[in-house]
Amino acid sequence: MSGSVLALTLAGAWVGVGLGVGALLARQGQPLATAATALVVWPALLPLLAPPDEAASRPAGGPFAERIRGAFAALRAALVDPALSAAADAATLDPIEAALTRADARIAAVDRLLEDPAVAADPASARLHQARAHSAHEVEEVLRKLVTVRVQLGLVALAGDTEPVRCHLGELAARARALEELAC
Amino acid sequence: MNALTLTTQVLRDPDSVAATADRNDLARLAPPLLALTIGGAAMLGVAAGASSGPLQSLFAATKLPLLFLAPPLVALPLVHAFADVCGVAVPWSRLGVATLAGLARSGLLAAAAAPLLWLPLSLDTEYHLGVLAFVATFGVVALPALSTISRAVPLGGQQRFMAVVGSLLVLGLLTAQTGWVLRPFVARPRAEVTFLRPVESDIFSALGANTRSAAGDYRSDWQPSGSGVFRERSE
Repeated sequence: MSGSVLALTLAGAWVGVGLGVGALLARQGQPLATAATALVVWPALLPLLAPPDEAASRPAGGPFAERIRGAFAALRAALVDPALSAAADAATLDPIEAALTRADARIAAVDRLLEDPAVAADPASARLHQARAHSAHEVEEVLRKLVTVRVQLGLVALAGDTEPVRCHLGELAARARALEELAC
Repeated sequence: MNALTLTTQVLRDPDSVAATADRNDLARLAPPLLALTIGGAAMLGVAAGASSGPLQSLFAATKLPLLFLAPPLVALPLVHAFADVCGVAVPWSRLGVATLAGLARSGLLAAAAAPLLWLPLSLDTEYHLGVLAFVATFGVVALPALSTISRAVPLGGQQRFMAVVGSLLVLGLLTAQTGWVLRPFVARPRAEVTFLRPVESDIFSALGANTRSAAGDYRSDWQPSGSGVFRERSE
């Protein structure tokens, strides 16, 4: 086999594998630009073919993780009920839950820092304690209001007035955004 | 992240692009990083071939991105395996983004270095000096990519040093020989412009012969000497 035939065969094999990887990425729902990139740099994109590691992609659970999951699961379960589904779109809960989960992860990170005796003993840590307490209070407030939303959903079932529920959810979304801004 | 922000970050701190990269970052960043690499390398290729006319510029601009991309991508599984064997766990996503970020940085540096290479080549510099100038320029712009890839290997592990040195050695050798296979980038004066020359000898023999010629030593052995499987063909 001559050198040029060998080179062409290798180049063809490279592009062929790239085509295969690109097609698999496109089928996974990756953007077309990413799938096209695989044509050339497929070895670097092989990790995208592996199934996503849900545990790794989710922020580490913090002290409020269980309560957040429970509160939103209960609210979504209520909104599935035909008598209550008109009160609010379940999709509006997603950004609120995501913001709360991120805030919870940040609190968990601070807790891990404060476990270090050297950090805890530093005089500046008092400010960190204060900021942590403030964030935790805000998360508590949002969780409390989620219960209020469920109470109001009950009123929707009886009186049919969906406006208070929408107002409360709007307020919760604003609080969730404020939590993000606090972190910035 | 828009293209300008990404370009700035790749130039200033490519490690930060890869430091926290996950699979989503890899999918998002791969297309723009590849575009930066190809664009920058092609500009250096245009400058390298300019002294021999537009056709040589086109050929060099096509081949130089291949020279940037092929060695690190071929060696990527090996780098991962080296790290694994030496007790250092490098996530694939991080290694992938680090490789692409390092290549993009080298691509941008190549674009910046293109006028510096073009200037001596356009002043009728002697051919062998031109080749050495090209090799030196390529070496200078390629080093940051190797450095970024090596820094993607996390600290710790029993033999991180061995993993990094082994990876860099393989990457360096692969890059040098790939460059030799893809030559010419700077065409010989009065020679017919070709996309590829026949494979003969290897990069180290060629660099030795080229250095002797640049110093004015044109004895009968100035050409690269064939060895191994190339001995019969080149002699």
